[in-house]
Amino acid sequence: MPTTRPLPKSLKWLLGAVVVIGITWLLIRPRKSPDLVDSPRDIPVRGERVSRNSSGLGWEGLVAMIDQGASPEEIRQRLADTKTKWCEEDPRVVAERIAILLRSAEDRETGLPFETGHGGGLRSWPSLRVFLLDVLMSTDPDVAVEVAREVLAGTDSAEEYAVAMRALVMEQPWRAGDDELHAHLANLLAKNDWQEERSEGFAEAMDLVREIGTAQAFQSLAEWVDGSPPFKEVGAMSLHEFAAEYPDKMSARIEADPSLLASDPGLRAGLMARIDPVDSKQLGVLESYLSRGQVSLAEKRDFLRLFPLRSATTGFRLYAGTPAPYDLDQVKASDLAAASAVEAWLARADLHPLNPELLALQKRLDRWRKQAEAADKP
Amino acid sequence: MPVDPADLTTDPYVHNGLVLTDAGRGSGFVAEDQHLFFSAAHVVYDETTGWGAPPVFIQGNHGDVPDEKAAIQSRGYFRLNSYARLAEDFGMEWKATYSKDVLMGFAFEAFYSATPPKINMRGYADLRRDNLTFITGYPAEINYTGESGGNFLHTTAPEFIRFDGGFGNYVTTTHLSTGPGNSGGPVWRQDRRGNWEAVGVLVSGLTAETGVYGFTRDARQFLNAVKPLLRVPMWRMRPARGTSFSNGFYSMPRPRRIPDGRPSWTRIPLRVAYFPNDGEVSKVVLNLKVDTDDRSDLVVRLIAPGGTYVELFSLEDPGQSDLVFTNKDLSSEFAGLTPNGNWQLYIQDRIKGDRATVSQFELEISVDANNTTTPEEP
Repeated sequence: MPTTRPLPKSLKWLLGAVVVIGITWLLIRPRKSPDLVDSPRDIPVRGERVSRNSSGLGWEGLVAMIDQGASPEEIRQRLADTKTKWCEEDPRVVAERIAILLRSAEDRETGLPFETGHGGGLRSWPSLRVFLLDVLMSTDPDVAVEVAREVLAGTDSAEEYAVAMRALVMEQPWRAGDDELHAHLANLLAKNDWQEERSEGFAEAMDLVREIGTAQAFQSLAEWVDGSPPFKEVGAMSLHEFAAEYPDKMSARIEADPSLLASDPGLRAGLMARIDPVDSKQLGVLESYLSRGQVSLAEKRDFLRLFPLRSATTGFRLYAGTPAPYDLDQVKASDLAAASAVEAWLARADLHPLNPELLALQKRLDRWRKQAEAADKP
Repeated sequence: MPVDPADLTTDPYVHNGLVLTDAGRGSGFVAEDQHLFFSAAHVVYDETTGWGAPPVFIQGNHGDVPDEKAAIQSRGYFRLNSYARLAEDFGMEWKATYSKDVLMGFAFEAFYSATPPKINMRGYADLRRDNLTFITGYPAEINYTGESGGNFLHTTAPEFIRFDGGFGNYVTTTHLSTGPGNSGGPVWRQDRRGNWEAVGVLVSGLTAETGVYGFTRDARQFLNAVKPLLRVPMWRMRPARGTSFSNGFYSMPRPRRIPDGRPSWTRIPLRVAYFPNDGEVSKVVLNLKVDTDDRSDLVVRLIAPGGTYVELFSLEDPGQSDLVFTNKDLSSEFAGLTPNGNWQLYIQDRIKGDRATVSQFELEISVDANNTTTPEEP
């Protein structure tokens, strides 16, 4: 008969402790779902089978809702709620799952317009892929940049292109270099089909020029406008928003290339009216602009009617934020400098034909100066 | 019908004025701040020729020639527009133009000394319900009778009118008749406290059809753009009269250490609740302290419920210690959003070597509690 020797009491306690610790660890250990990946490089590539049910994001519900004929307003609300929900989950996990969905190329049109809201985020999404790209921006930036570059390289949708560009204009360390951004701008401006169909995505992407903020970006857009493209008005608005923020770069380009925007003298006069005469370089550009014989009297009159132009468009923008280009001190200083310049111009014989406009401008500037002085008094 | 001259200094007639440009005239009204007036964009801005010189604003009744002494020269104006809306113009006749036909003028001198009314940011929704409303302004000619309106303030009879949705912010009704020159005049409605508020701007009129631009929350972008010119915090620009705010302070309970040298977000949520569900954020103030020896390792975002985010800091100031924001006003970035939900601080320390700890994360959030109607956007 076999005999058993009872375990020593201390060993029993030790085994018990091990079991309790083991069970506790099983209950509280960090969990990781099997379909999660650790780095963007582990994400399946396009064409790889995607388990829709394993996405964990409720994607299949969104697709079904659209397939079942939900109204655009119902879809908009559902997408807004979904964005809120996803933004409260682990950003890396959401980003990686969005990446999988984007690479699956599955999509649905929503019937909604493309509409930008706060902080460049969308509040109305024309397709589910545009929605995914929009939410991706609020998640993990490393994944967003990688996926955005894939989309930019392969999409034929202006709306996807416009939203994907948001990833490349984030702050450092994710922001693309100027060369890459210029190349994307050139690519956009060469897309005739997007322009001819007056794509909302193409239109919103024109904010890229202000976001890049270089003289080269201005030059590219101005040359495009000079070609009288079918969707020229978005270019004109973008040039004005650029000139309001970077009058130095705008004026330097026009000085260097006097033929720039010669096709639209009214537009050029408006842009030149945004020059800040406090800056002697910009004032010098103005002097030469007004002296130039190739600039018509009508254009110079348009310029004087507006100078110094401190009106602007504003609203939500995709990349560079709501335009608010002018501040009180700058406008006051600029008006004083303009008044001095006008006095000098009135003394110039070659500008004599412009005297009525110069006198009207002088009167306006005087009123603004008095208003500013009165406002400064306690 | 003409407004009784004795009523010109009373609410809401006192807020009205003629808007005179080089090319013509229209109507307008002061709102939100004594230095701001609103009108129809087409009164000043020509879609074909572009920007016009800043108009003058004149209160009161005038004979054949408006009294120049009463005129206040505005310094400029903002148009509210988006690139995507430019894409809509094609095939929509004038509706797309009317749907963005609003401007806000500004001056360094107050237009008057009265307390300005507020813009109803849900005017579009209210116009589409039965409301007792009327329109004021300065018609040069009365459409219905063909009589001259002179330079006298006129009003339509108060009526319960429901406007029909037209296109975007543009709504129409067949009940009213105004006249050329009345463009830019306000549509008035009384709020629950009996205060007059502007729900829209008259932008088109035929003998028996009137078109109005209905205000939405987007009008806050006007206030955002003009803030640097008036130097008034945006949340203070909402008038004190008749407006109540509810306020909340939220802070993280204990310091939080950030993983060192890990390029993924650590999230610190603040649960914001108990504001009215249909309330809108009017003020957000941040206090943040991150203890570190080198803040150039850090990337920091603040994300509102719904996914709107602002990049607070990104790998700047090498060699500098702690990252501190004291009473940072983020109202412009978040005003108009839904307050309830998780406000999350996203932070990552991307470079190994210096430990970072968030020792303070506090938000002050205010909500305009007067907005209690159901939100409806075009």
